[in-house]
Amino acid sequence: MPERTRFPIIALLSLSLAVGVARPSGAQESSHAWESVGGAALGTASGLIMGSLGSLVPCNDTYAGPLCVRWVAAGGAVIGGVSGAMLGSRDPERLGDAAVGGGIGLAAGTLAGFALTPFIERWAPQDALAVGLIGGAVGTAPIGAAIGLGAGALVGAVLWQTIPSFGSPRAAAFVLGGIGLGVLTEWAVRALTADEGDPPLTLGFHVAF
Amino acid sequence: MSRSDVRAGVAVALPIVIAGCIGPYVTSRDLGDRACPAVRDSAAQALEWHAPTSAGDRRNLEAWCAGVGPVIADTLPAQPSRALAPGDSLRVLVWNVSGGGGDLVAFLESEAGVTCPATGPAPPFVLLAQEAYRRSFAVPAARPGTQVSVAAAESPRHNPRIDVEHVARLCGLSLIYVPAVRNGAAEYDDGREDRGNAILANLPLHDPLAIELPAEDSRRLAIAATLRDAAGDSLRVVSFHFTLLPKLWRNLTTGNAARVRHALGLLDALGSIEAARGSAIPTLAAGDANTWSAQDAALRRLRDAFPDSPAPLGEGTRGPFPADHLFFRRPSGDTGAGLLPGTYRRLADAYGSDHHGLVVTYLFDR
Repeated sequence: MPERTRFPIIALLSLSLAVGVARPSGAQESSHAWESVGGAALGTASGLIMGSLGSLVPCNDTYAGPLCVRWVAAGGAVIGGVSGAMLGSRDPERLGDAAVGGGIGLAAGTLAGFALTPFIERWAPQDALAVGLIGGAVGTAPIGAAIGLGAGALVGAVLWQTIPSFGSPRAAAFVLGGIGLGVLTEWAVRALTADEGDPPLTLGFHVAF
Repeated sequence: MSRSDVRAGVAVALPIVIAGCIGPYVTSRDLGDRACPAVRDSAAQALEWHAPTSAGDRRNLEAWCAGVGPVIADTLPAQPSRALAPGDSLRVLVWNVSGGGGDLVAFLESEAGVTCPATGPAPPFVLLAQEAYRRSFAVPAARPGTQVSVAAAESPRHNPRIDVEHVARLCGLSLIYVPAVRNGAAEYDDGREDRGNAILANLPLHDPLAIELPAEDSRRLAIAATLRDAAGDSLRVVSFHFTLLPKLWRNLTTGNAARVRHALGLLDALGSIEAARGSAIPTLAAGDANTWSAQDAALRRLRDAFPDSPAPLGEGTRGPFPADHLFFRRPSGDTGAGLLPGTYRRLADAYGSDHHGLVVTYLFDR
């Protein structure tokens, strides 16, 4: 299968499977069947993208390399998919928030991606879309992403400055890995606390729209 | 969490794991429907070509190839060193010239001991170069659909900028030059520019080979030649240049597989070359792997295939990054020829390039 078509096909296949499996699950357990399906789809996509992005640099240093990235992406998709299905069936309102955040992230990321076109040689529309997809994945769990970014950047910067052989690529790995881990953690935490009322991860200030 | 939730997760992950294989990297001597003159014309016929078999790779490579000029294969040096005798040492240099940024003449005079213009024989050496450039009207004007790379970044020079063809002629060296891409779209009074891999030596270059690596970002190559001593013992030298980073979409969708595909493509081609010749000879492969870590997955696979390689240097060759590497293997059971221990090191001066060169001494079998 050509490289350029493999992952979109896998993603579509994953989503269709999620739909196929999650729908009867939701139908049996609650009246939120389609929310469960939507949650599984959104969580899968978000986990897949974040698993991929977060593992690019660390996996580069392993023998498995790209296969390592795929395995982590698969793990991310599982965590995201299961968490999304649980969240959808138990707390559709918070799933709706995640979907709105994802949409905003997708739009903002895609715009930013296209804005990069004049500055990067042979930057293609699909590269702009990739930025959009990353933005969308981050947007589904922005608090986790922000915490992960901050923690990853802090730890990465400290290690970079204190260990001479550490290097800036590994610092970047901490940043990207932190974002990925933060997004997946927020999905998991939301799913596991879905019956408990207020979300456990909240901003300490209110953003008025 | 219900059993259905778990089932959903497993079902989602399964196809991703099943599909988790690296993209195609197999190469073949059959160039199929490739039409690019640089792989088809009479100059190209001086080399044995190996190219990826994947149709997508070939389409991509064809668009880049259309922008470059003909191969140069001047395999006999005008100013040769003395003939290699059994047990002789050979200085092997590796360097990314960075287009016209690196001062190739100064590099050769200081590191190889040659004089330019050539005035007499120098100790035997071979230089495995990447990003060497050529300016000539033999480089065709870019047509619609031709991919043109931006010119290699160059720092200002205090002396004349001389292309690889003229340097080889000036210094009396043998030269195999295989351009990979156009070096910018500019048209100059004296021609257009392309850049690619080169092997320069003051020894005859036998059995020249060109290997197109799997298409990732722009067109990348490995080229090879064989050096022989008076007893007929041989050393195959390979100059390779891998990609740094493909664009974001490709990087995400392939799991950052670019350099691993390049390494596997190179190993596949070298394997089929040895199989076709019926025997393996000592092989030294070196070049710019564009790695940011010495533990890169591509390097790990190359080290597996080249078990007699020296240990990584542990210092950067492009800024802090260990981009350039050298690998070596000899046929199993052959313990004669090899790298002289303690001679593998990074060159202190970058000669205007953004890369420092590497050097090692090779000893032919006694």
